[in-house]
Amino acid sequence: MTEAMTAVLPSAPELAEIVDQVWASFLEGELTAVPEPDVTRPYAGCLIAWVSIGGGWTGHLSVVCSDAAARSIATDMFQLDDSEVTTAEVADALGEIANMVGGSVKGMVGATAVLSLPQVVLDAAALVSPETCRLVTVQAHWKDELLEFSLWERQPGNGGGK
Amino acid sequence: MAIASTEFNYVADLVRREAAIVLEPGKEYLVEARLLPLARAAGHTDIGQYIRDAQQPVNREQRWAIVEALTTNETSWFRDAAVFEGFRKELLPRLIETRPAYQPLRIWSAAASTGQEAYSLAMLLTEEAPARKFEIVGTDISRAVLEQARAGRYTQMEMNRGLPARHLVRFFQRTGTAWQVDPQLQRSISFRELNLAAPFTGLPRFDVVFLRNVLIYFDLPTKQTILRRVRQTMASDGWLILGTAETTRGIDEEFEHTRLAGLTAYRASAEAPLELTRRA
Amino acid sequence: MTVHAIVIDDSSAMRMILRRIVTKLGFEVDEAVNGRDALDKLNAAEQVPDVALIDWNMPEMNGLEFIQAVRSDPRYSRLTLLMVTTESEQSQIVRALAAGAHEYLIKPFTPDAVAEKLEILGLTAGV
Repeated sequence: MTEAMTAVLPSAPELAEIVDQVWASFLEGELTAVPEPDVTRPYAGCLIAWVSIGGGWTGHLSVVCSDAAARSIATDMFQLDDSEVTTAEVADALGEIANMVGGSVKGMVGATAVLSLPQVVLDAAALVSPETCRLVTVQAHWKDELLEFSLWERQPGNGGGK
Repeated sequence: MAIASTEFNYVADLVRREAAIVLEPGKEYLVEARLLPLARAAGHTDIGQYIRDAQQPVNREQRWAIVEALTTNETSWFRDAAVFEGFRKELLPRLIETRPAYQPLRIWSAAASTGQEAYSLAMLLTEEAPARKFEIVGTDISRAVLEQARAGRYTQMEMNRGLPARHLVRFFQRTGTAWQVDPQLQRSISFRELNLAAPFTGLPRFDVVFLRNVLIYFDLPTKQTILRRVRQTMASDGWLILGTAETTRGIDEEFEHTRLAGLTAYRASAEAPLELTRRA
Repeated sequence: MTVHAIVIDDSSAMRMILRRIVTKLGFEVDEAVNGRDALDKLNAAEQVPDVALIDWNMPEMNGLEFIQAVRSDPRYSRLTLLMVTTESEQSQIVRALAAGAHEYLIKPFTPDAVAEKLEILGLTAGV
């Protein structure tokens, strides 16, 4: 419990900086942060990739974007033409983004934190994440697309179940 | 405070000429973000005014600062490894041999920018000569970069650039998403503003001067003035180190060019002893 | 003389990225999906690679375990070990170096950062 209390979690600007560094390393184009992210925007038609963080602190780091944006990420990351990109590669690329952003967040959280494998869902509208609450959200424009990165924390439920 | 297209075009031409960087329209926000601290430091509230000012022929250092601000993403640690290796193997033993043990080694990092060169030297000296005191002075014309140098705080991306892992764990602490230089290391370094093209004041006598990749921004008469002033700050048996593609030849014939292993260095005068009488 | 690298990471995306960067630097590149797979490949190879780029968190045998296995085997004494990982805790870096990693690169990284780390390790293809 002490570990959870001392976990250092990123603020929105810090999360934006982490995202910025991942983008600058592997992708092209500038990110423009949205000053007041709309956290109610629906995820229908979007892909979501996330990693879970466990150990001293429990939560998820998710990245949500349109299929077009995800394809752009894959073509940039793997230097392929849009016509050559498969669904598997799109999922790999988005999963790797979640892994790297999540990895940096985990680095802040502390030594006992553990990162899960990334998971990717191709239609985020169907995803439900029970007993979590949204801590921090960063939205950014990139190549005419909107990207969203969020940090979710486990909220203790009454039944204590998953 | 949006930048006018004439000013943007001027800056785009400048960085294309000096650094082969292409700034397309649409990147105005980048120019604004990077030049605003410089404009403020120069006492302008208006970036446009700052840019117009920089166009005056005499304001070379301003133009240099603009180029630096738009091209410096991350500077490397231990940039040009051969220089640091040469310093470690050849210069440092000579300095240790010829200076009394109580006297701090004094080194000037004369285009300090965000501080990587100065801190790299400090790390090298701490590792190689732990019993020796040293004082490093880092100077730059830009207050903005000096602020970062003084803070000693670097992003993950900056930390990845050429920094040996053993130095990372020894001399840095993670803070949030960034890394912080050990305050102990910072104690032997001071950073201050200095315009190389103007008379130097308040500098100690240096054993080694690192003046790398900055003379190129000046015309010949100014280069000569700078090298003359630099020589005056140096101990008579002190050393000058330039960028790997630079030379004092054709500019200042008083400097003696020497090659020590992979390092090209310049002595302040021909009388300065060269031979190492004993190796550690 | 070509320099040989092996990229060891369970993420196919990361293997693709590193392969591209290291190939552009003039190296020959092989891949493995975890430490166990990498050891199998080393055992079967005619020639020990010059450098291994190693992720930390992998199934079956993680990067740290791989490094420990390699460093205790005299056959692989000339294999240079560069850890490439999201693990950025100071204590983790110390552990990796103590286990025998020669250098350490934290993700995310630019191609320049990889090139500079390889230079620190004295590995350039002379491209």
